[in-house]
Order: sequence, then C-alpha cells, then structure tokens
Amino acid sequence: MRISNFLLTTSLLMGLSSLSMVAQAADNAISLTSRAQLEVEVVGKDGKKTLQRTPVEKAVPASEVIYTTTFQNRIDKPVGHIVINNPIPNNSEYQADSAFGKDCEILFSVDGGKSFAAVAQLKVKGDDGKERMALPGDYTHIRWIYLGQLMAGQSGEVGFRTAIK
Amino acid sequence: MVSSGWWGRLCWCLGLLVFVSQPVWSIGTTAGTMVTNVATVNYLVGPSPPITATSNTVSFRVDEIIQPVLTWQDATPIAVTTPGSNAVLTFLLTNGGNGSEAFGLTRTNGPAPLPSGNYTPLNGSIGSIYLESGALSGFQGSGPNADPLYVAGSSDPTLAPNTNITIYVISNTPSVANNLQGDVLLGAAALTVGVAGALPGTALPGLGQGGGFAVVGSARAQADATGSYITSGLGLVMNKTVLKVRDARGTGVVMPGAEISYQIVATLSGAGTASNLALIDPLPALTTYVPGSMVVDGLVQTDAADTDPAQFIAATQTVSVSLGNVAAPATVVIVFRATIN
Repeated sequence: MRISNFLLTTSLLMGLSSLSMVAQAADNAISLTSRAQLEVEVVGKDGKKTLQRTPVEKAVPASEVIYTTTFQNRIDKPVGHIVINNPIPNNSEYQADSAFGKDCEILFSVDGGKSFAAVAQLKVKGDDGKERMALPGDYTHIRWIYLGQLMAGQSGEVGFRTAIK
Repeated sequence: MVSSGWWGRLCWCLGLLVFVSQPVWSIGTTAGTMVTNVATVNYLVGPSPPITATSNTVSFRVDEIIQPVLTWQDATPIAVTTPGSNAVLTFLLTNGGNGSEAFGLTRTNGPAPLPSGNYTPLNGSIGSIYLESGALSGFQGSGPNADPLYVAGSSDPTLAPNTNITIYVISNTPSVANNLQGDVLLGAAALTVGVAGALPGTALPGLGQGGGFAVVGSARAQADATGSYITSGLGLVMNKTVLKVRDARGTGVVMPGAEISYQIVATLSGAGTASNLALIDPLPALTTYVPGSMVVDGLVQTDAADTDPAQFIAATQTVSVSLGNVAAPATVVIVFRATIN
C-alpha cells in the first residue's frame, strides 16, 4: 500500500510538473521584440546615396519614425491564431499606407483599440458631427492577424511609420 | 529655460514684466516629451487557452528644435518728420520651436547695401528697442502702462513654444530730404550656446529643453526682419463744422436746449503711415454731449472705451477716436451731437 501510494503520488506530481512545463513552454512560445528607427540618407564613397536605418537618437516634430516588431516561434510546435496589436505611440501620427506585415491581414482602430476594421470601413465623427471616412491621423491602434501557423523556429516582422506631432 | 505654458502667458524677465501672447500655431510635441510604445501578441499553442505576451518597451525623447520667426508688423513705411525723434517700428517675434527659448535682439540701422536714396535712421533718443509689456497694446514710452526698455543680456525675452512678443524699434531721423526711405534690420538670435548661426540640423547634446538635443532649425536658430520709415511731409488737417442745429421749435436757432450736430473731417496727406493716429476734440464750453451720438465713417460708435475706435471721456469732456496706424492719404469723418446748456 505504501509503495503503491508513493508511486501514485510520484506519478501525479510528475504529471502536474510536465503539464506545468508545457504551460510554461506555451507562455514563452512567441517572443516579441520591438524597435524604433529613423531612416537617414548616407552618401557612400562612390557618391551614391542610400537609406540606412538607425536607432532613434535625435527626433524633433515631423521626424518620421519606423516601428518594427519581430515575432518568433521559440518552441518545437506550430503556433496559431497569432494576433499582434500595437497602439500608435503617444504624440505620433500614423503615416498613410505604411503598415507592413507579410502573410498578415492588417486592420486599424479609431476607438482606442475597442474595435478594428479595414481602412475602407473606418469612419469617425467630424467636427461638424457628421460621419466621415477616417484619416490616418485618426488611427489609434493597428492589428496584424497572422494568416496560418508559425512553424517552429520561424519568425516574422510587422511594423509601421509615424511622424512625430 | 522656463517651464512651458500656454494661454495668455506672462513671463517675468529679470524684473521686467514682458507680455507673451496666446499661441499662434501648433508646432507640435513639446521638447523633452518621452514617446513610448509596447506591442502585444495573442496566440494559441495546441488546445491550451489563449496566451498574451508583450514586447519590450520602445522609448525615445523628443528633442528641441530652435526656430524663431520675426516679422515686421507695419503694413507700410512709417512716416517721420525730418529731423525727428522716437518714431516707432513694430515687430513680432514668435518662437516657432518646441521648447522655451531666450532670444537676444540686435538692430542694424541702414543695413548694407544701402539702396541709393535711402537714409540711415538713428537709435531713438529715449532708447533703441522696447518690449511690449502687455498692459496696453501699442508702444507706451512712459506712464503707468510703460513698456520696458530692452537691455541685451538682462531682459532678453524668453518665449514658450508657439508664443510671441511684440517688439518696438525706436528711431530718430536725421536731417534729410523728404520722401526718402530709412530701413532698420531687427535680428533675433536664440541664446542657447552654440546654436545661433549654426548649420541647419546641427544638434547639440544636452542643451535642448528636457535634456535632449538642441537642434538648429532651417533658419539657423535666428531670424531677422526689416522695417522702414519714410521721411514725409505727412500732414493732418482737421476741419470741424456744424452740420445742423435742432431746437424744440424747429427754428434752427442756437439757444439753450438746442442740439448741435458737429462734423470733423480729418484729412491725412503726404506719403507713409501715421502711427497711432488719435483724433481728440474737447467739447465746446457750455455744451453737453448727447450719449451714443458718435458716428465714425458712417458707423455708429459706443461711448465706452472698447473694441470700436471711439470713446467719450466724461472726465475731460472729450471726444476721442483712436485709429491706430493710418496710411496716407486718408480721410476720416467723425460726427457727434451736443446740446447747449
């Protein structure tokens, strides 16, 4: 009896522990890394101008900032239903048509992230109280819905541009 | 650097009350503001419940761009007599940057190259540059609402973002011919060390409001504007006539109780602009002003000192019409009524 009780307890504990490990692994399945960059024109030795991205060190009103978020599957199983949300940063205005994300459906919110829709469906109330099409400056959040599953070890990038108000 | 503020801002500059008016446009985010961003992801792994994770926090500071704007406010050259003293040019200095900034002011009389036929104005005998105090708009050289004299290094105006200050340049006129133009160049330069005159885009670490960079704007952190005088035989003739007399019997006889309609036609001749033109007419003795009877250029005026140019000053029994800057030639017609006591 004692031996069987011991075995039962041990196997239960092991079971719980493995469940916990699965949960822990799932919690860390997707890593999300964001960065903000500026695009600067660099003249090479051959006199050719190229655009290079640098971390935001100097930024004044009207500067354009590129936000990029990398998401990566860190476990050995596929991950599905990946939805990334990002608010338009404070004191910033979304730049039209700048959102990008391969294999993603991109939606926007004009109500602080409560609801999302495609650009053509977004409407807001104008100063005159009448409904009008939303402008990029009205957007408050962006949502990327990753289409399909992200396989083990795979990663993707989503992002957008803003101008500092 | 002073802390930012907006509406109807009053700014003390070393004991001098200097008026900084309301915002003139929106330049944007105040220097020193931190911009932050955190992304969120939701996903599923097998049958486990949805999982939410967040990204690292991305943040950076908005730096200060230094961008003064200076404009001459008089629409046309200010007419001056020759020789003459203490004629006023009005300028407006606006802080078009996004941080509080102090500005030094300099004037250049008759900036080179001096156009042929121009004369060179002299610094005013009461002082060279004054700052609007905000107590009463328009230059006040003395009295309870006097504007402070600008002294470089001790009363340099500090402007919050999007605010402005009116600056008066005071000049004497040498003895020269009539119809000559004299220019004064007013310059304003940001006083943050190293920015004025530097190439646009120059960034000085730690010197911006809030501890970030001070970034030199497109105009090299300085601004200038030229204002002009014109020596002129500017003349003002006031012709006062009685339009009609109305008595109780309708006879038109001047007698106690009769009401007299006066008309003053003020004619400004010559070239240039008469600055702060005020027409003042004390009532004739033994008459009483008829309240609400003032009409200027066909428009009925109130008696109070308010937004319309006319007022009746009871203490001095005076009809007063303040027309501001008036470009010659011009004619102003004032009509009012008074009864004979």
